Amino acid sequence: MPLLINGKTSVDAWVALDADDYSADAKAAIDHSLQQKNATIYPLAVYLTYREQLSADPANTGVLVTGDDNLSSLSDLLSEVSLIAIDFPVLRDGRGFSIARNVTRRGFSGEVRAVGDVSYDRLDNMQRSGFNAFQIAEDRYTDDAHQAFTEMTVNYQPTHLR
Amino acid sequence: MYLYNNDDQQLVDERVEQYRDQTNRFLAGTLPEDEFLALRLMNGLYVQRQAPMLRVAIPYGLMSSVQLRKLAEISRKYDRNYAHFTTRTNLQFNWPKLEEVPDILAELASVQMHAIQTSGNCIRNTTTDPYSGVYKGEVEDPRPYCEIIRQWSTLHPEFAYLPRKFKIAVTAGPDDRAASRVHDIGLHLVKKASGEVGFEVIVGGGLGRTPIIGKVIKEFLPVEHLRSYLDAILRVYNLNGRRDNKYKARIKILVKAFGIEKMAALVEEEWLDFTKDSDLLLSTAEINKFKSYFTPVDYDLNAKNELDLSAAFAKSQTFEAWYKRNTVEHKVAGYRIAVISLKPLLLPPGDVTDLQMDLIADLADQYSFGEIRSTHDQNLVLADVKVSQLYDLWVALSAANLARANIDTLTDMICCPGFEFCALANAETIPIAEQINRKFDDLDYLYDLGDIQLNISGCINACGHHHVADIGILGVDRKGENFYQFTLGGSSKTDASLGKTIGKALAAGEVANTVEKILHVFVQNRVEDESFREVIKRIGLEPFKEYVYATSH
Repeated sequence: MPLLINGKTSVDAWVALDADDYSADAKAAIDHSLQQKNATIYPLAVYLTYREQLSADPANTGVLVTGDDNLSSLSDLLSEVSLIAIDFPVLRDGRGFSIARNVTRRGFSGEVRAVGDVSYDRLDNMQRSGFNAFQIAEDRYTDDAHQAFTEMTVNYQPTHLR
Repeated sequence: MYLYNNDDQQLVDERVEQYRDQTNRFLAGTLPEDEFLALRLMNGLYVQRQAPMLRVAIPYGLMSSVQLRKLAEISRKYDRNYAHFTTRTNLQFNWPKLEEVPDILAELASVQMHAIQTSGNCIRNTTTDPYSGVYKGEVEDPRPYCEIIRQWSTLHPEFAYLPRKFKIAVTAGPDDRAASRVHDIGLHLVKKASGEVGFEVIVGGGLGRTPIIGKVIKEFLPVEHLRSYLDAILRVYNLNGRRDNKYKARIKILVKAFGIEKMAALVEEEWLDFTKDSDLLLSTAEINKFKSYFTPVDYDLNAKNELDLSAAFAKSQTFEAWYKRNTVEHKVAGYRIAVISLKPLLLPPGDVTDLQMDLIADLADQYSFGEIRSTHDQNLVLADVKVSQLYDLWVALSAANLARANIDTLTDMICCPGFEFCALANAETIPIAEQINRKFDDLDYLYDLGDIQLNISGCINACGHHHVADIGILGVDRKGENFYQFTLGGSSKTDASLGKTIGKALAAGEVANTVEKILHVFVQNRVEDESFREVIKRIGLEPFKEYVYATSH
């Protein structure tokens, strides 16, 4: 899936383990991914369950957050991860914008990645809310995606570009 | 009024081109329909029963004669020579073509106007008192703060996909002419004994399916914290408002679920921890910059010497009636606030033709410093008219069917466009307004009744504000036939309250007769000059129910 980081198409260095990977044997799935030494994105709830084990390697650890997660727990672990993926389940759901703002203003300096329903017309809003990486579905990606960030060159809000 | 600087202009110009590109991609089939829907709504474009509808923002109800002339021109060039003013002081075009909307937006941008956030689940146009800056009882002119809110909320990146739409109204003082207590946020300018000015902040009001009067979340917010506190409320709402059911997604439902104490605590925490002392804090210099756009106009100090209208009254009783009903005391001696009635006999409430718009623009230039305001009650206001020029103004308005002397009377109705124009409506409203107009054409009778607010909504979404009227009428559909349900005793003013239903819905043909019965009970029970509201408070609804639903009289 195409990934834009800081306006440029980039190779995804991260592996995201989804719910199916954990459902059979979560412990085994985590052990396996740790052995592979992959940079891995864990759902927030999974991360919290295996926090002791996973927090040892912040450089290779990321979490996936949704609007339904317990967001207060997120602010405590910002130093333990280097990537926070925030899910936009549907177009109408704008919680991710505020989640991004919340983690960046608390000093998180790693990658804040938008995943899910991510497409051209919201990229600028996402960037201005604190995202610096955007995972766009194949069928919604076009090579002019970076132009989304320059359509509006003035804005009234204090900017939170990263 | 506020004048765009280069950045303001660039923003609306770029927004036009951005929207043009979105429209082109939609027409080319590369932008999916559900995505375009969200994008076009955020730019005021609905697709209605018969045609698209474009809603243009009139920020806090203030426009210049140049802008009004442009709106007239647009109605001629792209629409059917008329437009409609809404209860949120915006203007709607009912017949634009979807593919021409980018051109309309470019025309609007040429006179510092736009349609940004006039619909969609975002922060809508801020509304305020139409008598701002000229009314004797105000604490301060609220418009500088409205402009601050406009700028903060315009294309706010974080709050463009809220759980639901979000409306803010600001009052100038204790009198509420903006229905602030039925808004998502109501801001009331208040002054402490020390002279410090701030806002009483109300949250969680609203109409629709679940009408609720807003509650106080902060008793006194110093003005410099306006932006930072609003930002905190919006973030708490964006993260916690319900996303699973659009009928339960407004902030009023969240406030109800949390309770006002918990809501206030969450907002306070967000505010103190992050936003209060952030770059959202307003400096005195910044506030003064906004105030400088709304300084008093250059009044003629000799105007106070020409106050005698007895000769004009002798010439025309109709003028005298208009003066009494449609003009309001001004804070500068020798001037009056003149209300232009958009509630003529037998025409849709709030509608204006292109020629009327042109005329009003000319009259504003001639008599009122070139500015026009739109009101929550769907009328227009010329705020600074010399007493000595009122007669000439009235003559000109009369000739254009704009001088019906009915402000705040029964026929000064708030009415949504109804079934004919709105895809959501279940029932017709404009024919009902007509029916009432025909029945109550006797102005002397209306004047005897005094101030009465009658509001009509064509569906439960309540755009016609039927819950907060003395007499509220809600249209419902029963197997293809329209019926109308009456609620009595509501108010959107300082003593805001929700009306109560008096019984089963009645047939369309019975509406005006029912209003007559309600008024009969009022007149029978009225002591001296009691208002409708006072009578309801004193005697309750029972006598009205009994009389309306009695089998025979």
